[in-house]
Amino acid sequence: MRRYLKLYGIFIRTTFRRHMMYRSTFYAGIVGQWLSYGATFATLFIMVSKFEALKGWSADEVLLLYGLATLSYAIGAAFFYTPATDLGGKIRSGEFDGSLTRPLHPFVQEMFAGFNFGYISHFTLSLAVVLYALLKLEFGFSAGNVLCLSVMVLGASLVQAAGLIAASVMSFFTVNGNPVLDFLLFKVKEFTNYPITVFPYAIQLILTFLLPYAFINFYPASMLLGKPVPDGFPAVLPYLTPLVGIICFSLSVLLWCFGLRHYKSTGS
Amino acid sequence: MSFIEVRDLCKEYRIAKVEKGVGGAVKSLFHREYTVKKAVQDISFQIERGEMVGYIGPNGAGKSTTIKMLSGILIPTSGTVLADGIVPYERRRENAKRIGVVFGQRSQLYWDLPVSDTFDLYESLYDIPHEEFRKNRDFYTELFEMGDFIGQPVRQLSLGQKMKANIAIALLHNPSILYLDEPTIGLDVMSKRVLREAVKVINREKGPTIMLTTHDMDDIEAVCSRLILIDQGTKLFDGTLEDFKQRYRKGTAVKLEFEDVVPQMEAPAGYRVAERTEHTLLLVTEQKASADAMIELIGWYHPRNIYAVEPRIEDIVQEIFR
Repeated sequence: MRRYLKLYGIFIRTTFRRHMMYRSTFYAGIVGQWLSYGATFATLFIMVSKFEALKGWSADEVLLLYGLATLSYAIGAAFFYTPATDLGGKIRSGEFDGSLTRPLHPFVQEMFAGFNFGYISHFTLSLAVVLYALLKLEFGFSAGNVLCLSVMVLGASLVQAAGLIAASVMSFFTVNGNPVLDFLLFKVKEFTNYPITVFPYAIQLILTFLLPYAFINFYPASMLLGKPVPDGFPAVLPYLTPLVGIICFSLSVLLWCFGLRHYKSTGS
Repeated sequence: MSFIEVRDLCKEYRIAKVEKGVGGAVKSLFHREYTVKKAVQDISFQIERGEMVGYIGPNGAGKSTTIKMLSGILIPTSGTVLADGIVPYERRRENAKRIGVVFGQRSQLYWDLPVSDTFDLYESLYDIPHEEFRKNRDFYTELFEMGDFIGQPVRQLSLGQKMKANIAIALLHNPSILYLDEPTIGLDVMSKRVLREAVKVINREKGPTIMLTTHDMDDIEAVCSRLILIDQGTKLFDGTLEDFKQRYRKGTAVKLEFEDVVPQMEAPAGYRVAERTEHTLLLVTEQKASADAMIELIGWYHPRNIYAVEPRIEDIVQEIFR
């Protein structure tokens, strides 16, 4: 385990050195992301504050939802965005063959080599939004509460990571991506911009049990703010966020390994 | 038990058939027929520790597919591979520590960083003891004369420099087998020569078993003592270079040198001009022994010098696939 951590550290250092070769591009990227996400936060905030409460959720609370979704995505994506989205291209170019001749499991190899520093902008901005919203909502920042917040965010990040990993598995089977899967994994996630209580029962069910994106922000937020779960749902759900995260992540890794067994290298 | 044992190795691919035109493309959306392509069929061979084997054949013969199965990338449809005591595609991570792989068409280097960064990364990745790493790094830096470019970003390096670095990296962890898949592709004559010499030195000093695929038969002639020839997935020949020449050589080649420019005249019947330069002429004949051919050609052309030429593997292979 210690060897792996050390090795990941060296991979990350190497990746960082690569980013630093193009310093201005790197900084411009960060600023660009700040601006684009900042604008989204601002519009959302203005919109919700005009309409006031959304099924019992105030503007600040909706802002927290959006902040949590972005924060967990920033963490999940920093580790898994590059390994997931580059997989198809690597398979097409034959570069993926290289991962199979290294003394690491290919999944670990891909993950180690694919840390993405770009998400530092999402991370800092969304962390600021989350903290701002929590301050406004008079969330007590005691040691226990901070620990609770961290565990929730970590669980949510694992769900986000699972989505990215699962979406990439198609690359093992088809040369091009799969739009249906992209829809399920990315478009469906847009439901999480709002508390799921505003949606019909069927969608609440899907987002909780089938594609558990409600665990990205809705359940963690309900736990932090002491909000009720949707009618008829078990009250324990918010507390299960870390567990759901671990389960989703494990399943996605298993799926990835299943895909790997179907891997056919390209010609030459 | 040999060091590398390949038995009845087969690899089949399923390829979707798409009919011509838009209609065919639409049809293939709903119903697809597949054809099975046999990339490798029943190939068997053994390689002993420390051998240098050339693995050759035309494009699409199944060379890379074989190398990919040997190096653990692909799983065979049937048949077995045992390399250095393990089945490569079943124990990929263990296998990785024992082999070095270089694909000439691909680079393992970080494009935007100096070669030395990739070296350092591989030290940790392969868990190479620092002393051993240092020794190997110095050895290969000297062998490939990398001293003056090891600190430069890879994107500024020439193709030859990159290939040298790629081979060095594949050898840092002292693998017992080195697979080189078209390592000289695209290189100039000088770089090719340097690489060939280096590969020989590596085999002598470090002792890895080397399997080399290439389209350049001069690579084989310079480096390998043994040759495996495949075509359409099946093995045509397996033996020493000498045996290969014996078996496939047809006729003789004779080289003529002229004081002035080569005379513009037809070759005598039964001879073919294989190569013509300003002052020399290379003629090939299929029926005649070299002594007879030389006497006949002296009478025909009146050259200044005449030599019987040892056929090059290149020409023989060309002859086989003509």
